[in-house]
Amino acid sequence: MRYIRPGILDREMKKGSAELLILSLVEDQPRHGYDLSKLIEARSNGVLKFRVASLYPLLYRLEKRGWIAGRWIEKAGQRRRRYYRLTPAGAGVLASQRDTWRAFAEAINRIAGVDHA
Amino acid sequence: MPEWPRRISEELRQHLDDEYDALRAGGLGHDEAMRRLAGDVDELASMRARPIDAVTTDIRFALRTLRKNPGFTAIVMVTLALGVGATTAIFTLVDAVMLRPYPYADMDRIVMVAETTRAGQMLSIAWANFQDWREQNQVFEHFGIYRGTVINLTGGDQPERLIASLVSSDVFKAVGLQAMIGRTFTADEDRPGAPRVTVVSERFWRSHLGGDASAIGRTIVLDGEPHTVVGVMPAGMRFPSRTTDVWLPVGLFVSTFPADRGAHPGLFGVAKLKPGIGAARAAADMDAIARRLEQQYPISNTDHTVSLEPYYEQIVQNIRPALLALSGAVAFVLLIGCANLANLMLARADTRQREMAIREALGASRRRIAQQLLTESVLMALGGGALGALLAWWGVKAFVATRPTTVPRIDQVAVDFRVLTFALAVSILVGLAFGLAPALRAASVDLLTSLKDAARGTAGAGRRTRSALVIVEVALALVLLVGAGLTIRSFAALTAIDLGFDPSYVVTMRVSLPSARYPQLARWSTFHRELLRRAAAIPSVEAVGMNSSTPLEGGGAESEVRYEGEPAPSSLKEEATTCLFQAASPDYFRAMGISVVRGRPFTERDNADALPVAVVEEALVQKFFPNSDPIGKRIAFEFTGHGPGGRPIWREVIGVVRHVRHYGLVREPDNLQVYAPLEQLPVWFVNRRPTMTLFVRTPLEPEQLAASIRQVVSGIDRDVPVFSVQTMAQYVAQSTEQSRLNMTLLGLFGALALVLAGLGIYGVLSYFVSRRTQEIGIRMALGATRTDVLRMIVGYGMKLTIAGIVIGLAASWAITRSLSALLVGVSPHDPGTFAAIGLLLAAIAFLASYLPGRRATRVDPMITLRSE
Repeated sequence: MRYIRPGILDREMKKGSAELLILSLVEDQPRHGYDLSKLIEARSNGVLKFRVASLYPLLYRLEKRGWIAGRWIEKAGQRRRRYYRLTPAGAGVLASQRDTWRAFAEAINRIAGVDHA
Repeated sequence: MPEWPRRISEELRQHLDDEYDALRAGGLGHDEAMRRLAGDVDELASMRARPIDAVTTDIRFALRTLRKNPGFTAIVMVTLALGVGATTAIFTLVDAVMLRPYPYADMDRIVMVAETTRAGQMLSIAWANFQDWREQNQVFEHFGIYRGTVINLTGGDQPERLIASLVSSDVFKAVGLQAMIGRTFTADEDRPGAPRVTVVSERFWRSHLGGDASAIGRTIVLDGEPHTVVGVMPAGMRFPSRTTDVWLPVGLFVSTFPADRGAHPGLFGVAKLKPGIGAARAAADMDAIARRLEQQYPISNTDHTVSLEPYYEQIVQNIRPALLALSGAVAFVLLIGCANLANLMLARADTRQREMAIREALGASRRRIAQQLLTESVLMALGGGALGALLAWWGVKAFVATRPTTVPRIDQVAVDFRVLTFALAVSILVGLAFGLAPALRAASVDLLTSLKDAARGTAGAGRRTRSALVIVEVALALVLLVGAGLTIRSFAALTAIDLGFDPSYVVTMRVSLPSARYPQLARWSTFHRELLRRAAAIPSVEAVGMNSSTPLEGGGAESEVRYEGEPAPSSLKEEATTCLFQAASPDYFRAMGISVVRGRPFTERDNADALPVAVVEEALVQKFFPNSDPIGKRIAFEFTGHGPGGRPIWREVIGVVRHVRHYGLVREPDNLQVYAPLEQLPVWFVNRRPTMTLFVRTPLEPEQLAASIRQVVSGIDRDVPVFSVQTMAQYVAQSTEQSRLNMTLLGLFGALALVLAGLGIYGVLSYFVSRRTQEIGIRMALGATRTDVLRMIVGYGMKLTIAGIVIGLAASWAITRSLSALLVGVSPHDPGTFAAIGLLLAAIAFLASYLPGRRATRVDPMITLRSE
């Protein structure tokens, strides 16, 4: 991804991919922000790293759009955290974003002959 | 109030805590963990990017913000468009009239020269005086003399009237312009016996001579005499008038100038001061010469001196007071607009405090936030400015289309690059001006207080700023409205002036007989008699008259007037009674609707063979014959021979008419008006016959009538042109033009100011109400009635308004004095206008306060309390 010409496409892709990542990660279980950022870093072997400055506003935006729902949860001995889960609307968006992404990646592969990792 | 900023900052804090814990758990010490975290914190502050990025980010962000609030953005842009548009339009005028350089070399050294009495009455220059002045002065580099006239061009399909100017060769040198092709006049051509040559304007050259160089040497027939074209002046040559078609050498006319220094044959001077000679020094030098001539020629020159006036002054002096007033007015409109916008921006900044706080929590510095706010206001200012430029372009175009005659260089008034640059500069300044207050405040917002819930009540400082802005706005609007009110009163006073004649259904046109073709007075008289007879026979013509001078056009021939038996003047310094004398045909009074209050008008029998008679105006009767019947008394306004007054030609008074406005509506010197029959032409006119104006009372359209008259005239002499077709109503409109212009423009800007001030009050009170909903709810829950609430809101609005009105009235009192030059028949401190405007503004302010007040009374106490 880093070698795509910088520009609008790049920016949209990053934005889209960030949304896709978050939606995917909260699909199975509710997660809080810190958890999400660690998971993304860990599962991508450190290639993808969210900027703190953009993660939380992004979560806010996704919630405002109704794709995820946040809820403060307090556990004994810990301070309260905001957990996000996927909403039915978010599930729909996730499905369609996955399709788009898949189609896009396949297209790139066909042209560039790169194996999709 | 959104809760997301609090939420995000809490999440961020936790994120950093978690990271810290994780780092510590991974074995790092406190210091090392904090150092790593500092990286994240830096990233949070990543908005501190490279400056250029910051600017583009700001702009993109600002555009997005503005798009999200279309209502707000629209209000701001419209306010700006009006302010910038008005300012730009007036700047266009000021620039074209006053600022843009004139095409003449060293404009600041060109002075207009006239003869004047020490009492200040301006005269044209006696030919002999001019020659002495020219020879004796030490201050002029060039000193030319000129006289405007009209001349008939024949030899084409139809005779045409041209605007001509007889000039000495130094006129071209004084204004510093050379011929575009060919040459200007030589010193030889200033002397009697000069060859019949002419220099033509660029416009005439294009329209009549094919616009090519072969025009030089060609011959044109002017007043029946062939003249050789020797030069073409560039289009920039507008001296003595923009409309001048041809220049003729003064030498051709010298023999017609009376040698008598008491005669003032319509000549005026134009000179270029020597470098380094100031106007005061020049005036002193010329005055010394005038004093020497006074000694030498006491009869003609006593109390006569020389007046010098910078040419630039002469061009702009009439329009300057209006332009200054209008510039002031648009500056006020712009300031009021800025105050409004600053208020809007402040209110908005309050509601955005949380947004700002979170951005600060995310690492944006206060400077960056202030910069962001400024970017938004400058962007809006640019948008509004562009709209304003469009408005100005349209307004200026509409204005020029009305062809105002009182604006110099009106043909050059247009929105151009200079003007657009001005609009751009004003827009940016305005953007900074109204954006600065909110930006400064945003830069000093306390992060903690904003993030806490306490920010509901607006800070006291903010409210004070807003109140002060409203007071200023009201005061400015009041000053502007008083100015507008005064010009409206002035216009009303002007239009109420009794003209002395009935302008409706009167069409005028001029007929100028070339003296070469009509050398004898008898032929001249016959032509006019015949013209009157034939014109009266045109169907639908009710009456036809002629006069040597046209009412409202600025007077005409003036002279001393005396009655028989008046004691002879005891000294030269004794003030003589001045009259305006006119040669009129029998039906002139009937055609113009001028009432004959006593005696009779002229008849056909008052001809060259009959006894000399005169018709006089009522004021003359009051002055000369207050207690007796004026009919049959004798007066004289023509004197021949030398000595004070000379030998009088007595005329019997046969009729008395009403006073007629001759010098326009603004100024009317107390010259007594006298009329002589056309066929008993006053002695001045015998040698230099006047161009007669025809006055026709008819329901016909001017063009239709002009066509018939042209036919009549060419039936008598096909080489005589008919020109200056104009209705009397148009003359009236022209004399009120400047006043109407002032009234319209100031009225327009006043109305704008009123609307803006009303909006300002409305906006601030609406904001006040929305911020105080809770307080109002509590008050109502505690028993306050709706009236109490209404009184609180409206009272607040009116308190601000009254403060503004008081300040505005005081300021108006000081400022309107500078409007005196624009006002006729109304004092700049007219109490009626002041009171009316104060009340008007108070009424608008009341309305603007009442609307938000009424909304406040609809507050439901239960709902507001529950939401707490």
